[in-house]
Amino acid sequence: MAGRKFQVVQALMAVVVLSGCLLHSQVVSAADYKFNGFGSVVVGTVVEGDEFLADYPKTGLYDTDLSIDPDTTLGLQLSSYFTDEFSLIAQLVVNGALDYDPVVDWLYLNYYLTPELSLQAGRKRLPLYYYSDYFDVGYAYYWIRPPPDVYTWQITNYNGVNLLYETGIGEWDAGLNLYYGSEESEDNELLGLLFSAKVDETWKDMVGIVGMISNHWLEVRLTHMQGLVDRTINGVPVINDIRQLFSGMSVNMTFDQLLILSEFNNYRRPDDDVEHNAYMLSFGYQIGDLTPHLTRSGFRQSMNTLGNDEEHYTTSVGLRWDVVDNIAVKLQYDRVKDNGVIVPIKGDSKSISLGMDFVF
Amino acid sequence: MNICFPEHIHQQYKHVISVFAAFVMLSIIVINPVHAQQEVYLIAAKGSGIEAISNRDIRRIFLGLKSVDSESVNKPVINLCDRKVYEDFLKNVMHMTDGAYKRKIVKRIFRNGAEEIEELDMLEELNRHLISNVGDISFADHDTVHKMHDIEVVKVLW
Repeated sequence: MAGRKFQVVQALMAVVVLSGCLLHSQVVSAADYKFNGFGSVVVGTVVEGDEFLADYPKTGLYDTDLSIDPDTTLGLQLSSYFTDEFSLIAQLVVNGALDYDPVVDWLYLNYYLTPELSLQAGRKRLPLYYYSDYFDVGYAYYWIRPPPDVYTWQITNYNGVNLLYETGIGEWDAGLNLYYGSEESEDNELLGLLFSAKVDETWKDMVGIVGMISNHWLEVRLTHMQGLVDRTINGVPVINDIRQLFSGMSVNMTFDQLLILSEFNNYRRPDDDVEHNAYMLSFGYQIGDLTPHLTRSGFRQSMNTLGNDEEHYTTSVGLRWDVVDNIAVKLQYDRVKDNGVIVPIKGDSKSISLGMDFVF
Repeated sequence: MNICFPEHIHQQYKHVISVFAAFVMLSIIVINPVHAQQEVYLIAAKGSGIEAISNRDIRRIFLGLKSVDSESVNKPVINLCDRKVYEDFLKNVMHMTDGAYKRKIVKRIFRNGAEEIEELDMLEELNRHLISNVGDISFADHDTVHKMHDIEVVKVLW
């Protein structure tokens, strides 16, 4: 928690310095403020097995009791538009899985250099995965939560800068995001759960690129990031300046009512002999306000010199019902098959969740 | 093989066929009126200075991005006065359903801090908004535009 506070202070300082520069240059006049919010209230339980890790980064864990905490989220976003070009975005989120402690997910300044090119600086979500940016905004997708096997990241934010280019190429929308930054996580939730110990993790010198192209039926997203990792377990350094690489691809298709979503990721720490792959393939079909869906996801870590064998698969069946414009009700059944022997992730399970997502 | 019907049966069939043909023609006229579908326009307040703007740029603006084609374009406004026109706009210009469009806007708001796109369902309100926010754009069909004042057609959308 102290690490997170330190990161927020860093981000605040960056924002204040940049604000100062812009104020000094008399860019800022009268600000136009907008508040937006989102939330999810989810109740769920494991109906077969012992536990279900629904949210890896926040360790949202269901057991055989009925629980409302693992996926319940509330977020508030403040957007301040100082001029047409210059704005400040701040987002505060509380999650049941993190004991409803407020977390600053976004705190950055945005400056449009041209209508298509913007420079952003501050604290942002780390855009490794397709749903990284709005992982907590349940209204934006049809599941209760994005497939857990794919979203197994312990670091979800970064402090730094990025350059975002959004343009059109014929009938295609295209975007390119270049970013640089770092993040320190003290007493990391996910690694703490996996190692049953206090784990501090730092991802530094992260350099990443995200490319996206879409038209009215096809969307392709490619991502690559590389940087260095430091890790201590109970205060003992176990990883120091080790290179890590992440690559991913998402292909989403819409054929009238049929939606096909997919995501494939590869993570490597070559010097540590660590490599894992994750995938997701999902089908949804829109029938008026109803969207039934079926998803298969998996995570596989290659056996290495340390004997790691993390391997789990999830099959999900669910239904999204858009009750009114800003509210969706969802029901989902998840079946997890955990094949890990040395590194099991909570074992096999079957669980059911019922949730309501809203935006305002 | 020739089949010969008696004259009175032949006359009776002729009568039935004539009545049936008249019924079909009448049905076509009633069910599927031949008057042309109304044109739908991109509109703004008079004197907005918006000249050339591509469909690609219109789509971009209604997704919450900045206009590339014209510096005079300010913000988009969704016209919900006529639900059919709105749905046709999403289909013909945005190439998506209402649900997909709303989710896309939500993503942009919470991913990029984009502004929420204003929605107005009263014609007077839309008219007032466009006049007092010169540069804001919306869409409306032929009859609706004629009911508005101090509004100019920027482009025929379809």
